[in-house]
Amino acid sequence: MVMEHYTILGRIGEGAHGIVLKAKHIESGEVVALKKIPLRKLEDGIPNTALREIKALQEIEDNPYVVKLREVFPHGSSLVLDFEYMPSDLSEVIRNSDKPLTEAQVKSYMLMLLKGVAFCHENNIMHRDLKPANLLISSTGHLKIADFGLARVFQNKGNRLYSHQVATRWYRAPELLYGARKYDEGVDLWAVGCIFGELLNNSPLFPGENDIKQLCCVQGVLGTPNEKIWPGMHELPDYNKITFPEAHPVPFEKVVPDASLEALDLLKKFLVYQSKNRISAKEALVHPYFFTEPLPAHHSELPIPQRSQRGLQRRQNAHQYNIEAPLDKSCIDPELLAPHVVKIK
Amino acid sequence: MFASGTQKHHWMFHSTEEIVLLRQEANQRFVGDFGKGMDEQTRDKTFLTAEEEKLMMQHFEFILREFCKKFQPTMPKYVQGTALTYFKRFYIHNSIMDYHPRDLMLTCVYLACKVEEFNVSISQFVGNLKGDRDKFANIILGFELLLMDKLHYHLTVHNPFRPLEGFLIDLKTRQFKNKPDDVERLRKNAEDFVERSLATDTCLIFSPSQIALAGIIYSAAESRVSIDSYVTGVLMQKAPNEEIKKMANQIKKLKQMVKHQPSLQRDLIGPVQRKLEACRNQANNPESDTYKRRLEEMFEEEEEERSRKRQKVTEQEQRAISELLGNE
Repeated sequence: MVMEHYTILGRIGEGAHGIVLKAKHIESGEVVALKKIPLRKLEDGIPNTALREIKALQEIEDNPYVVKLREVFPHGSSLVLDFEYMPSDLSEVIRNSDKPLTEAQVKSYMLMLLKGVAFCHENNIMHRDLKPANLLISSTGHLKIADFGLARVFQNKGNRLYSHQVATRWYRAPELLYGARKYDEGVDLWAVGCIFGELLNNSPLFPGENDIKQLCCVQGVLGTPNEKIWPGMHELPDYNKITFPEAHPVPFEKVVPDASLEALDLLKKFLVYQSKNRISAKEALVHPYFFTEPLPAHHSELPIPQRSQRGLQRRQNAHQYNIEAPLDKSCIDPELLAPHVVKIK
Repeated sequence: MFASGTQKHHWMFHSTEEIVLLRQEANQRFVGDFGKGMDEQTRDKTFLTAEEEKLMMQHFEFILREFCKKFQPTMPKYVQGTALTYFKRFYIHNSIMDYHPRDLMLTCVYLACKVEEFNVSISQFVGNLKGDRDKFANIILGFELLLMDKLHYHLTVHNPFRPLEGFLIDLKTRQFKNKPDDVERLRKNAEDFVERSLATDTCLIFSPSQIALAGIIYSAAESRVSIDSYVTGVLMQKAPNEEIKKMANQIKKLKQMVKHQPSLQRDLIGPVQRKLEACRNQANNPESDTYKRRLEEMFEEEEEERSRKRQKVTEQEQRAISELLGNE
């Protein structure tokens, strides 16, 4: 596979290690997103995030709720990752929808998200950075998990140390905020709970401005944790570094006022201090929430916002036809063609 | 998971013979390309035979293992296992005359460190080498992308170390319930067996759990502990007789490969290595002018492409402005 097999259609965005281009794979006609990572200026060579993403996505079979890595190839001194193209993401859905999402739509997104997470966890992959911006929306309205740059293949032996500087703050599990180096797929389930709350409320559940305030936000809702509800919390590395004023838990009914009883019940099961007690993705999929009216919406009933692409639009305008122009300017004089025509009997 | 992953689907071969054949083909491809117009005698004198290539591979695998063992900070065994697997996979479809094993060996270890999350910086890594460290760093980083490409971006390697640990735990909980020490007695020999398997092509033919099980069975026989009832009664429970026979056969083959390794013919290494230096593909030799020129050209091309793009964008912008001002 080489770059010449694609027509570049525009620029989608910029990542930590390179640019993302929208392109068309000429042979198949499929529109793709090319992540191009120039290696020349990188001191330690191919970045770990790219390796993790390749490692995780090459190993799993296709799943409708995980973005597909179609191809990887070198281009000069750059590494190129070819993903299926996704026109939008969940953060845009939340931001752009003129009217709040309906309960059926929220259910549908949660169903797809949980199916994707369950699949990853079954394959021993923890994503570690689930957030609305990493949940892409396809042109058919489907949700797919993307950006496995922090994904780790986990082992159930529990003796490996991981970095706690993972996950975007608002979706970061309390054990990570306390600096835990041993953690499990529960960090993804906490993030799922935060995303669920955000979908229900149309605004982030725990919008902490920094790491300390983040913990404060969480405790403001769940109440001050203690050794009884969260065994082992005293042993977390940063536990003694910070103390907060004693807070009482706020009932979830007050935090997410418009949610149904089933929604509240499921939300509570994700947002639990102790990681082991969070409901697994597989269990959550059979929660009554998904089986009570209104049922999850069909994907055709979901919004598909267009990405704001100023750069792309300008380019398209340059090629647009001018319908006001006189017709003869766009016609070809048959006389000019005549000498090149081969006679057909 | 091994059962659904790339190792099983792309990097498992039927037998040693199949691997030998593929390596012969790689050798012949190279000789065919670079020995065009040579008569057979000159070819034989100039190029390495497939057997000589094998000798070089064994030699550099040995160096690779020693390098990993002495590495500071201490390198986990699975990093070494992954590096060796990359090395063996790379030279299934590539001749060592095309890419020098000394360059690729280091690149394999460096990539394995990253993939296995044994995080060392490039300067820390080359700090383990004697000589011109900047040069080594450039070689490693220069070949990293090529190595990944030749490995078809299949980075996950399942090593036999974890299944071995798993078997030991399983034995302790099921078979020797009150005698964990009996199981621990099996550890040493089983680990040695797995370690020795790294020097063979077993990782290209057998699954990691088969290698681990062969280690356990070998160790049990050495220390006269019977685990037959565990193997047939627990592991192969409900398996048809045919399956059990097939399994026993695999383990037997495995033991043979690990126990009867031909020893390295050290006296031959020097002459073959000199021959290799003379016939290797200079375009892939980081020390050669051809390589340096090609690298420079690649960078220049990229630079040109970038400036071309910049110019295009500026032109487009100017056109848009003049359109806006109604100049056209």
